[in-house]
Amino acid sequence: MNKKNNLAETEMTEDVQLIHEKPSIGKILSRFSRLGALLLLCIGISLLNQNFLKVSNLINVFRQAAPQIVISLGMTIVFLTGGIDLSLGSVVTMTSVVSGYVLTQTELPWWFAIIAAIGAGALSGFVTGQLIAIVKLPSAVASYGMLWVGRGLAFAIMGASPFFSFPDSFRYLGRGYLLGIPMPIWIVAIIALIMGWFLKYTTLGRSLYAIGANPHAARASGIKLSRTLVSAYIISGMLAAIGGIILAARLNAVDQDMGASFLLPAIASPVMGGTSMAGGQGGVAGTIIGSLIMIIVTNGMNLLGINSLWQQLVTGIVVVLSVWLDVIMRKRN
Amino acid sequence: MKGNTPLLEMKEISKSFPGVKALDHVSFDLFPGEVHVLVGENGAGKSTLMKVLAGAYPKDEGEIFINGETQSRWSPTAARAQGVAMVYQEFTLLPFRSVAENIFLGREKTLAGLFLDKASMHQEAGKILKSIGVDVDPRVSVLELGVAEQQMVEIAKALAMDARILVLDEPTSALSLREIEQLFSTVAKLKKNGVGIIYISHRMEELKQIGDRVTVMRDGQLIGTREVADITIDEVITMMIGREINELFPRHHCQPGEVALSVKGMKSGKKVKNVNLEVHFGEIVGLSGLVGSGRTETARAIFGLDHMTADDLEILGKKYKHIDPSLAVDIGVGLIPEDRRRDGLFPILSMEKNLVMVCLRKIFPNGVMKPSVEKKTATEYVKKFDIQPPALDRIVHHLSGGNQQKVVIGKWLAAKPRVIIIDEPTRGIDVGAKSEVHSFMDRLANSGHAILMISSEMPEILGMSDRIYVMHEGKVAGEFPRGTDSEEILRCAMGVN
Amino acid sequence: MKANNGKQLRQFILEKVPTVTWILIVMMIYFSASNSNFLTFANAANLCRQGAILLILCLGVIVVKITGGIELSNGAVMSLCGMVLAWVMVNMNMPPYLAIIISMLVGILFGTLNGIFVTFMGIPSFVATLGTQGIAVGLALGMNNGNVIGGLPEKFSIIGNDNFLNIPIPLWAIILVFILTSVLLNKTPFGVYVYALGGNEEALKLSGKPAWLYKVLAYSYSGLTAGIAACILTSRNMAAQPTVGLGMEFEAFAGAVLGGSYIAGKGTAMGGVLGGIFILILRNGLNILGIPTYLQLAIFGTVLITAIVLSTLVERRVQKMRDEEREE
Repeated sequence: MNKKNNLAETEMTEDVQLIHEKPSIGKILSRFSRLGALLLLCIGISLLNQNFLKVSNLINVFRQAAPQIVISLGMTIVFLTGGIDLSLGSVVTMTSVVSGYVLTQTELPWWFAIIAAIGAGALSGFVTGQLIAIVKLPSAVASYGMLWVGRGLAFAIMGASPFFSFPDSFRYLGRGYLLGIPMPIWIVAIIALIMGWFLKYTTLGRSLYAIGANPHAARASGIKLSRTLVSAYIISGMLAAIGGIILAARLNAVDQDMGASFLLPAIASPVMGGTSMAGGQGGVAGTIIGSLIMIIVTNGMNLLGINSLWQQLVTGIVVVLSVWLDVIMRKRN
Repeated sequence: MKGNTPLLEMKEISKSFPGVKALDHVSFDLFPGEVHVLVGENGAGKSTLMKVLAGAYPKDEGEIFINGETQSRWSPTAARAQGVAMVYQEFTLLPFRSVAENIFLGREKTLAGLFLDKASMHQEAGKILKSIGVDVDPRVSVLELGVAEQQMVEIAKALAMDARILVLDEPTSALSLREIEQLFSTVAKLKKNGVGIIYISHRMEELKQIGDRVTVMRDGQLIGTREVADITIDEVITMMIGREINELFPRHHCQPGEVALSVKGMKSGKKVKNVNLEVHFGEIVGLSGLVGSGRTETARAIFGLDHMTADDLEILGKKYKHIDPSLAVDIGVGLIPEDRRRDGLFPILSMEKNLVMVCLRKIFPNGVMKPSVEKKTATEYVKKFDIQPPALDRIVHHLSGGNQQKVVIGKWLAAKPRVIIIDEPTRGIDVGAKSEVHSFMDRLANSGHAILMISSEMPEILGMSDRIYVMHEGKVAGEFPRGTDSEEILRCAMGVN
Repeated sequence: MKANNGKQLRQFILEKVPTVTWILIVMMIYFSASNSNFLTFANAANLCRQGAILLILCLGVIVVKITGGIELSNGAVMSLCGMVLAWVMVNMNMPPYLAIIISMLVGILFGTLNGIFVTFMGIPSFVATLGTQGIAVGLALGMNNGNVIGGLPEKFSIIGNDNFLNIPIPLWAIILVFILTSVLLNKTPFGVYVYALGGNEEALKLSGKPAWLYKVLAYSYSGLTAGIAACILTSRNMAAQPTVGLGMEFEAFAGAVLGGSYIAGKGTAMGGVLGGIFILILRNGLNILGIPTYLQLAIFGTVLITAIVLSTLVERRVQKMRDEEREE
């Protein structure tokens, strides 16, 4: 205490050794608990049904999971800011319909369909973001409204009949293989790397965490709130579009309901992966694990012969339970 | 006018928090039909005493008597049942509902136990309002009322619960002159009805206007209780200050340089009405004033956190029409906020992330971060401020108050501002950390920074400032050189001449 | 004096009457001017029958909305109630009146489930109700392998198709639920607490009332309306289809928001009904104007989000004007 009151000695020369804290066993456990849950789930299902661990089934699982993972990453970005984007499912529909339209109703090249779809996703995210940042609607209200705008646009573009039979180069994105690995998995890997880098190593990514952790302090620290928020929704819209493209390419057709079922898993996956709905915490790796858990649960149900009609019931329960767990974890901290 | 048995008697109440004795054998009493004014500087223990009275804090020692009867079990429910009511500064009213509904919230009058008996609720509410001399239609929605009228509704709500001991905490801070008169006539009516009122205020003129007795508190102790008629305002102020300043402040005065920040005719919101001030490089300027005088709001306005207008705003030699926080950061202004949990810290993020948050755009202008640079910057400030424990991955939520404050200061200094506004630099931190923060401020000023320091603690203002501005009701009411005594500053802050 | 008149007029236009009324009037004029079929008795009667379900749901949603919650599960819960209703009549030979009671109980059960998710589990209302939506859809699909349940007793068709005192029974149902809702909101302590939950929950807790209980009850009430709506819907179709109600939650949400702004602590039963009527007339008008179905949804969504934004801005402007007045 004396030392500190003495001015000369508080000069900044003294060499403080930084402590590198070793995470406690509890922390390590909780960090890997999700991975552990995933492995346990895999082991459990493979015990009940030997087909599960077959390479063909696993590749199938991953391929199925691809759009889900990409869309969940979009939701992760929004969760980090403390918001929610209920429109993601319908953005998936709308953007895949846009790509379907370009592919089948115009003479434009197949890659233009991708650009158009991603552009449409970005635009939708831009509008949602403006409603939240400028009009200051709660994110749930704004994005829920945009859900129906997106759905309506999908209907309007499609008219009476669905689009199908896309060119092979486009279908390659959903069904093709590169070096023996399905294209969707490549796409997911690339996007996961980009998003991981973006969240960890860019100032914009860091600002997203800051806004979610404490919007008041973020503003007082000179972060431009509106601009950052809007970019979060734009990115999430673009990711939903990429999810839609993979889906359309795999199914070789688009219809007006294809995205709706992605919303609930997209909420549950990040939360199960440790991204808090309250914002400021979470990341890419957790969301991928969370998405895989979601997919494997449904895949496992199929393998175990449970009627897929019950799937929504399970998803609903999983959403409620995972968000509840998130609430409990936050209270404990 | 006074009965013989006091309505309320609090005897030898003590209350400690870890490390602080907040109340030290304080006694307080209140008679029916009396206005008992409670005064003291910030942190004197007034609000702790009132929280004990409301049952929000359990007392460590002492006894509470109501109407001469000792109260063995004291809790919020017991307090309410015994007729203790607080009129909070933040209103507990439902804005879209009628006055009558608000007055009877939770104790609605019903027909057959099922349906609201609106007629009798309106009638009752009208009666209560009339009894305190308020002319408000009970059917009208609270939204339509002014602040003073809302306060009257709060009082009526308390009376509807048969409150006999009413605590009014700084009731006039948000009121206009006309509204204050209205409040005082209500208080007079209450007195006539035999209600006892504990009135907390910083405004000395009010003390004389409506007080019967006054109790002065300082540092958790009772200094004295007097009849208002027998005491002058000067005596009250002397009782409030009492001690000599014996803390040591490490301020090494140096010659101030050019003007770094100059504000003329600034207005912002309801609390900043006309602020003129100047801060030079190499100078620590103290901004003093009572709670609610608009100090914090002034700081927020200069930094662009709140909307403001000014005749002239000059920062580092350039004039600005508008300012927002991100512009302020870019041109080299820093605000170390009063409420660090709200405006300063990212509690769930690590120390490293907190420390580099403000300087992100400065050290990574192209938007891509280098972990090594980030780590180096954070380490530098951990060392500079001797943040304990020096663990960059530590979540700041788990740090002590003093270290949290150091993180907030460090995060700002990492952005290398030239003008630093620091609001309550040492609130809620322990003695050791306090003197460290003071030495940093001293060094900063002497190395050519301009510092505007807001503080409620008189010793800090006197000990650290080269010059002192005093605010009173949204205006800079006076400017004093170093060495002015505390009484003169307090008088100016209270609007007494 | 003049200024005072202006103030009263402003209050009347912007505050006393739900904003949606004015939009409604403009819309009705536009539709009837562009098509003579719009303002006919046949069309009005048709609207009533079609609209009963939506208006009843709106009345439940408005109660939840006043507490500050968002209810997105009622469409799915309505489907499930319909399935249960049909199932007990067909497979258990239960008399219709008992089946109706069971349908309402299922509705209340799922509403209460929402309330429990929100209060005890601390889940944001929109996530909780989306979860319940999933659960209800899953059950509705699973219980009969995704198939429609038909072959309901003849008598059961009365509810959706017959008249009582020359007024269609669905219209009676609207009137009853409307009266029930406005009595609950305006004439009972429960109503006061519902408004308190949205306006200032802390104040309600300070007054010593169990705030959580009233919140759960608000969600239960919305569930009950889903159960009632299910009876009318199933009787009109004389069959229960597991996904029939999907999308309905959006129309009900929109109606409730338009009839009383999305701001918590505000709203009336009348506003909920007017908001519902707005949606009905918009849909009906688009049909009559011959706009193809696939374009309708896009127009619908856009009109809706525009209306929400506009009413929010109006709301904020009014608040500002009020503050300025007070300053003077």
